[in-house]
Amino acid sequence: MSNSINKTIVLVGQPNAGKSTLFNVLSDIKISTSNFAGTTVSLHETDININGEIYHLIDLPGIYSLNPSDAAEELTLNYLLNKQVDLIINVVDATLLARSLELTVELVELGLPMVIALNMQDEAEKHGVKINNEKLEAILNVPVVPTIALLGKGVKKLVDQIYKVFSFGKKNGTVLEYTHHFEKSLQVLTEKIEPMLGKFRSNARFYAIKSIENPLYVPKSIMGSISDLRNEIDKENIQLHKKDSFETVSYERHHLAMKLSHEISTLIPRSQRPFLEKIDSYLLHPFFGQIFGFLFLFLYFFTVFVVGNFLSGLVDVPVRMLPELYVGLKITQPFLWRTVDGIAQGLIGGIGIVLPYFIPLLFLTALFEETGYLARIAFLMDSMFHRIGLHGKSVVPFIMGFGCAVPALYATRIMENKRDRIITAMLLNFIPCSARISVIFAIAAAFTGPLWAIVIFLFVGVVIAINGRLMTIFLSKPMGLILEIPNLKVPSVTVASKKTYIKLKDFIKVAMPFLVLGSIVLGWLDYFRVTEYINMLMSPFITNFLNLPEKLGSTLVFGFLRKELVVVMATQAMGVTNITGLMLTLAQAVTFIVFVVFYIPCVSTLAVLWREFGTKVAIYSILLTMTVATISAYLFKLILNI
Amino acid sequence: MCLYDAPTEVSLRILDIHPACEAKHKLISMGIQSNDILIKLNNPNSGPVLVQNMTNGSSKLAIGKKLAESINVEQHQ
Repeated sequence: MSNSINKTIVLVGQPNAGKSTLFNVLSDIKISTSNFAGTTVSLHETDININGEIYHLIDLPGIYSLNPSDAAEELTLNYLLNKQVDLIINVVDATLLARSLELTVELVELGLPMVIALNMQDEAEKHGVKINNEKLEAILNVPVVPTIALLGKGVKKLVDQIYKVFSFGKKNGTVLEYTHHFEKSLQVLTEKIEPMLGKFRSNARFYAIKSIENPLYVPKSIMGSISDLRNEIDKENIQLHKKDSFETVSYERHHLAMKLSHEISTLIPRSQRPFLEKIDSYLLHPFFGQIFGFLFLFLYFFTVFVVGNFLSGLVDVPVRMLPELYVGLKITQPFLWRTVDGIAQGLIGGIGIVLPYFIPLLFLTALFEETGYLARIAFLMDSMFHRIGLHGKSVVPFIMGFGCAVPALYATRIMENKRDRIITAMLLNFIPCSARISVIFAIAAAFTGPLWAIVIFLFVGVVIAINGRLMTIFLSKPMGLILEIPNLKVPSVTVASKKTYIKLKDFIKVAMPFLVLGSIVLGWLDYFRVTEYINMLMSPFITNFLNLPEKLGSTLVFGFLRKELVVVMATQAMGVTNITGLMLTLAQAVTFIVFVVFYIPCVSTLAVLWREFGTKVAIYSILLTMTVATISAYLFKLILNI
Repeated sequence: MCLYDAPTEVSLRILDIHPACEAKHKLISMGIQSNDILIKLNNPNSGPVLVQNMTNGSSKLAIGKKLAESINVEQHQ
């Protein structure tokens, strides 16, 4: 058996079908999943070992059909058409059988070897639908494996099936036949395309269908030779069906999938209305839903604050004692003392200030994402978001932004319209991420109390509303909301704990070295008195304009690298081991928090902004955030000093 | 009648989606097709309409006001 990776397996399915959960189970690495359309908006990949053979496994973004309508779906189709794919695992949501099978029909047409993972069959049975897997396998000539990805059930069989496909030869599925008239057109086109296929990976029949339905995805060299014939067929379709070709083909496929679904499923008695469905009617209620939504968000942040305070108290005593261990070096070897102190302060900041708030935030977010409640909030807030020129789908990146702006920026890919994407991305810079929330909570707990944290969160809402309105006032109205509301799910504490652990590991691996290194550099800069110059340079702004201690100037420079650094550097710059030692007045604490919340996005966020939206958007974001941070912080300073 | 003005909790058959609707392809991809049977679950004053496609399965779909106005439906017996 060879161990070199030469086979690529891709997971393809409609959003919420359970691809990412299946990917998590199949691989050792765990990625972020949530019960919301578009969780996987970039490629997640890993290598898996099946019986000694290494395969490359890729989780492609969810796609409703092979006619993409947003950037994430586009990514999936382009991957399938242009990259090496040796096996497709089509994850089918058994609770949405007919609709999911439409994509299956298309994937079979693509002509690549395939295995179907029929997921959530237990849920389908609860909804009164029993599926005959063997019949589906016989009709499509594709292996079908029932799975419950969340519980890891059926995954062993799926792995065996993958191994069988590669060991005993790959099977291409049986394409289903459309109506006689359409099949005749397809046959003529297929024959014409066949000799032109050459380097293209897909098959002639797939391109023939696509040329009628959506010519955008057919190579130009092929389209150029068949365009006259295609236009004739298009005209015929319009005359015959009074529909354009896209609708005609979709309609035909819809009926194939419906027919297939009827053939393989039987209705079984449904004992009673599932409990979660009963709850859902209240969660989506125009009045109770809104009340619950606000209550939920309040409790969410309140819990993070309370648990964070508790954890912070637990680590406070040992953390305070650490600098005493090397205090002797201060006089004998000042440079070494600065270096050791830098390491210690970095660790103290990370463990004592950031992690206590970061851990509960990660855990609650993971639990929250699992339930499917995110989509309900998007639905309930659609009207409110229309007032600021956006629609409910923007809610999703916004809520993800409370975790980290980077995945939230990728999540804007679920939006169909570029205008909505850019505005949402620019407004995302104002959402306090987990790092900035840690800063808010840590300083609020030390100087202002929770009420000010609430005031600042409300102010964030006002800033987003004003900026959104100003940005969209001269633009056309958004296209409107089309959003799937997936079934509610009971979140798994185990899955949420695993997700928290992975993100925490990532924080310790990626952010902690930054905190420690930044802290050492600050110590050295202080030793060589460079910080004095930075502080002096920023003094007119920091001291005269915002009325903050001069030493906080250099800490804001470090905040550009990672936002957590601000509070860690602040304690170090002021020469204290505990945040309360900063000796800020209420006005100074609030002004500082407000400035940190809004000013310039961190370097990772800027990099993604630049890559996803270009230089202009990245520069506008810097200018906008700096302006908003300055005005807001100055306003708070003025109000609190009256 | 358009979906936005249709009554709630009754079966509705989709007649067509207005050809000028800019999200027609998206609606079709998400399972809103002519002749499908829907149930409208809410009667909003201004927000999106919530529907359940009875032909497809159990999930619900939220459709913005402007788009819901471009979907023609009739009451299904």
